[in-house]
Amino acid sequence: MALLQVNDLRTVFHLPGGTARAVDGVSFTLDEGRTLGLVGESGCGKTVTALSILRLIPSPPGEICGGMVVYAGQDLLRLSESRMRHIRGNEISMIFQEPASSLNPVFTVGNQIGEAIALHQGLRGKELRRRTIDMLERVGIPSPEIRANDYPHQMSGGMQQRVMIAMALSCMPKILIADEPTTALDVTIQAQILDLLRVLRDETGMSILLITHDLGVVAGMADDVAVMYGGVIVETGGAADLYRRPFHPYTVGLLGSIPGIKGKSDRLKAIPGSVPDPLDFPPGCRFHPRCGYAEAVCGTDAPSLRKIEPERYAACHFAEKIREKGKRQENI
Amino acid sequence: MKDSNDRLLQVENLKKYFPLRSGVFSRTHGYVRAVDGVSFDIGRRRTLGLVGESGCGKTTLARALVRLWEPTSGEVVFDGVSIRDLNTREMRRIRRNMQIIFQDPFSSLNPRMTVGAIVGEPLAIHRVAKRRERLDIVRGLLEKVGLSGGHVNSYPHEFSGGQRQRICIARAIALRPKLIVCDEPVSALDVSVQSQILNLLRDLQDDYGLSYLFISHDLRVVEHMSDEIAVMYLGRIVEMAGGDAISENPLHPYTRALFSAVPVPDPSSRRKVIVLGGDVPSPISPPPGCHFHPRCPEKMGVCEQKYPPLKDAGGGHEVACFLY
Repeated sequence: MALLQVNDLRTVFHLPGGTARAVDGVSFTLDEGRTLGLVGESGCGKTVTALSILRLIPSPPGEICGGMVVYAGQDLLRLSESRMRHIRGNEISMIFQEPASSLNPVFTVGNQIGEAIALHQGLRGKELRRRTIDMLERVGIPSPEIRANDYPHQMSGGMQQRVMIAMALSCMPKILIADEPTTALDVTIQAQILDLLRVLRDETGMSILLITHDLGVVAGMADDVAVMYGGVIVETGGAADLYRRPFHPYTVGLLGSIPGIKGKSDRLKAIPGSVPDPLDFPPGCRFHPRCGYAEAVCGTDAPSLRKIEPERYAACHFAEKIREKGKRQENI
Repeated sequence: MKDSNDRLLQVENLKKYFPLRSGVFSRTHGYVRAVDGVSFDIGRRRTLGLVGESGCGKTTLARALVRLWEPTSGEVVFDGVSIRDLNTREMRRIRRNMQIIFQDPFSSLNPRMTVGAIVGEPLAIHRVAKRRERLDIVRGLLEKVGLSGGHVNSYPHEFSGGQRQRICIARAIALRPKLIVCDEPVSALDVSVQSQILNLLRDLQDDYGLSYLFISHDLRVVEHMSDEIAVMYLGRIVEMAGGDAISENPLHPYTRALFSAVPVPDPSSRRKVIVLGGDVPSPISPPPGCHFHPRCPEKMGVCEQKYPPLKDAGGGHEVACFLY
């Protein structure tokens, strides 16, 4: 069942150099109890999409200029600010990439976790304290009674991210938006945090919108995947199927450019060129200057996200051709 | 063992300690043992990959190696010459043959210099060519790294991250060095651009017969690039072997956990991830005995008392663990 539905979302930034169309018509559905991985490179609009859902876009220079974000039968973009405050951190929570800069350095972590609980659940005093410590324990912080009195700088990056997760989950949200939750962490700590997120997801049944540039992280977490490029979604599908049979040339390229985990192998299939600037997107399909399949039509007509197969959508004029090519290669 | 002639770089028990000072008289009351007795060698035209998590001493090792930071002790022999006691002028001559590429292509290029001046600077310092010839060489270098020769008058801010890293690479190969120390050369780049740079580094190795010390925290990248891999933990090498040997048969419990923790881009993979408890300890007060023992799933009594030496577990696969 659809829990969150994003429809043709558009967010722009009015900058001195022009208008950056950071999110330019993004639609996707997050189902109940499922994890959707939103993948893309820097500047593709992943984070702006997440911030737009929670209406956290600084305005000016930002402006959400179109679309709908439907949660529980209401369009979040049209709610009053006070109603929205009730949603944020309570129904939909978010964790960010840099735990160190997301935590307030002058309050103890216990204090910061308690703030959300007090605000949304109205707990006070001993009850509040107990609930706070309970949350710290659930995210795997050793001796939580003592660590609750620590300031963020007394903790390592992995511990800080655990605190962020405790804070985000303290009011048992229906949806957790995790924006690059492990990018700033070391591999072994990343494994700890991903493991924790999986355990908590299974315990609470929450839905997760996982935003990351790392296709490996998505593969281990997500049920469904949406690939973003240049402010639009270029491909969506079930994780296993999309990784095995990508239909969009960008997804094909992205998967091909990951070094394999098997020794000093062949050359990588690099994508030429670089990520486009949101101030100056190429006309037509935004990927066409870097695309090996591009033809004249790609420079003029922007392909829309269309159904290629049940549960599989791609925004490419030649998606069927790429699918057939993939089929032939699989047979060989 | 290999003939010493095959070896371009030999590092013997290299140490770099940073003193911790405090108080009115800046009394030294301890040391950060960033690199604590590291030995390895790199063959000609070979790549040694160095992996480890943040704070394990990878970058300190890179800098101590080329004497950007003076090593505390230990021996570095480059191309048959011990570089430890060389004076500034002699060291400069050696540096023609050992270059370094840094992680951040945004802060390692002077924003006030044109690309031509940046790439031509090593040529000028080492008086390799006359001014006019220099410009031609620079154009050739830019084309070699996949930029256009017409970029000589542009400034770094006009380029994307990947292009800037290409400029850094052009500068590093300007003097036709024998060794390039690559310190996280692709960590700041997007995945699609990262693969372009990795391919470029490979091509340059083939064309110029370069050796690389390739440092990264990303195991996938290191495996792709390296002939041999060394794994560092808290200032020491805990395992070192051929790239295939180490990825197919990691011996040290830390290496095993590290390899298992790399996310695989395949949702159908059912690989077991070994989740280590705890954090990387501080190099100011490393745990006694084996530095890894507080997080180690295979800890034994002896691990708390003695540091296991790096020894051959068969076929040149070296590991520092009492299990072997």
